[in-house]
Amino acid sequence: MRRLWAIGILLVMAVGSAFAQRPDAAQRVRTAYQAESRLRLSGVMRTTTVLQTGEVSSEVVVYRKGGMTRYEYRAPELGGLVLIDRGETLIRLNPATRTATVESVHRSPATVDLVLKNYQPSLVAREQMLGRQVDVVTLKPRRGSGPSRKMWIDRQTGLVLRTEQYNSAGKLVSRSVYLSVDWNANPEDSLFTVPAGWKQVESPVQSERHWEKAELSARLGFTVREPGYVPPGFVLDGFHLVYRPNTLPSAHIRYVDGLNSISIFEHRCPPGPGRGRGFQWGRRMGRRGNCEFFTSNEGNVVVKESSGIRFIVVGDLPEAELQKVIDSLR
Amino acid sequence: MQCTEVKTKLADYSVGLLNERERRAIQEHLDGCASCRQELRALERVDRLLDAVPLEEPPAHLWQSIRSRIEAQPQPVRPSFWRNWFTLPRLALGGAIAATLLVALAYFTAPRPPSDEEHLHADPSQLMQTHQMMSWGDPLSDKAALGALIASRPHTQEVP
Repeated sequence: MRRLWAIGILLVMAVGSAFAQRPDAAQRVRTAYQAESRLRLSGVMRTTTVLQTGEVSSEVVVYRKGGMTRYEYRAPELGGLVLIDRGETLIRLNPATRTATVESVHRSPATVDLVLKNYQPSLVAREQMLGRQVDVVTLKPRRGSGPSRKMWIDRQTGLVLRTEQYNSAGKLVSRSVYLSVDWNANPEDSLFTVPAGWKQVESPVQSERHWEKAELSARLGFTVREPGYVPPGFVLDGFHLVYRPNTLPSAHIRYVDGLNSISIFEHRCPPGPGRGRGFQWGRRMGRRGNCEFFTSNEGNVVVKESSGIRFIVVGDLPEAELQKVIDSLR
Repeated sequence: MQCTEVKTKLADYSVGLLNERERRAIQEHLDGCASCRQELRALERVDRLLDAVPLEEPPAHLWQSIRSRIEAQPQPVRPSFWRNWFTLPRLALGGAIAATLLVALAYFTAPRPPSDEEHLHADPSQLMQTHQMMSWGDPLSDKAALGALIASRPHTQEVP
């Protein structure tokens, strides 16, 4: 009898602690999100991105102040690029040409609430990092497969001292780690502006603006199609026009679920024989009907041509889900 | 309007020979196509060079001289019907057909580099990059890693 009581108490404690942990993990995620705009510091990070073709890795000097962040990339192959995130705008400083390119930052409708609705936060460990107490929190899809995140969150300030992003296959996509942090730094305001004497240009990339579907169709000269199906949890971000130097314009319809996104690009087919000719990206996985599939560490792609329009759907989703999305375009 | 169609009309466009509708269509295409704008600029340069060359008046005795040389040519001897039938026309026709077949074969079997427009459309890495960069504004995005992606891809460099 006594043993039964002991097992019952342990069971209640285990269930209780599981429930108690859940809101704590969610709260840590919210704190981490808010910390980005609240903290003032400087530090050195190492960031690594795993691509289909290899890795991009760099040491980055970071300055944060008043919701703005400056990233100075130190890897020689990255050409000394500096990015200044001012919230509404992103400034790229190219030291080779002493040119500052200013572009509006696309504001996603995804919120931390959407993240927590679609991803289960779990507090998996408590560790020491850079002499600080950190909570290790994972975010995993609540349903089906999808990308996941692991974050080492400073308990005192909410700063994410280390973050790892995994794709739906569980492979590492990117990792950024603080190597050192100066918590008492007060970066100069001039670090967050275009340096004097630099040429300032507007970015030729125009993808942040939201368009009405009819307006976008008129601009492109064909009717932009919307999917009748997107996987559960995704919400519409908006219709955009992708216009880059040396490319003709494409419609871009974007859906987000917090950590994952689906992009649907639509543009006129290029002239010349062969469906999908020239589309060489990632590892070609084959053809189903009139669709072609490609995969890489950065996501999966399905391409289809119909009535002179090429449709390209990109996302970290299983092939069957991408197929459903592209088949539902109308 | 596609690049290939626009390029066939650029010469007429550059000298103002198109009607209003065609002119507007081409102007609209040029607004969004760097390749065709470049072609137009090249045509306009050629036009300016030609305009700069002064017109030469032919000398007064030129036509008289040509005419007398034509009249001095011996009259060709007309070959017989059978000679005609079995030699030149048949040979020429056969040769022309063979040459056409060879050219067609070479055209359809040789590896063909993509046209400018095809090349432009077919670069999926730009679309993938757009897909990735749009997540800059998403909550909890790894901006340090995204920034490294911006820097690592040559086609994202600034165009002044």
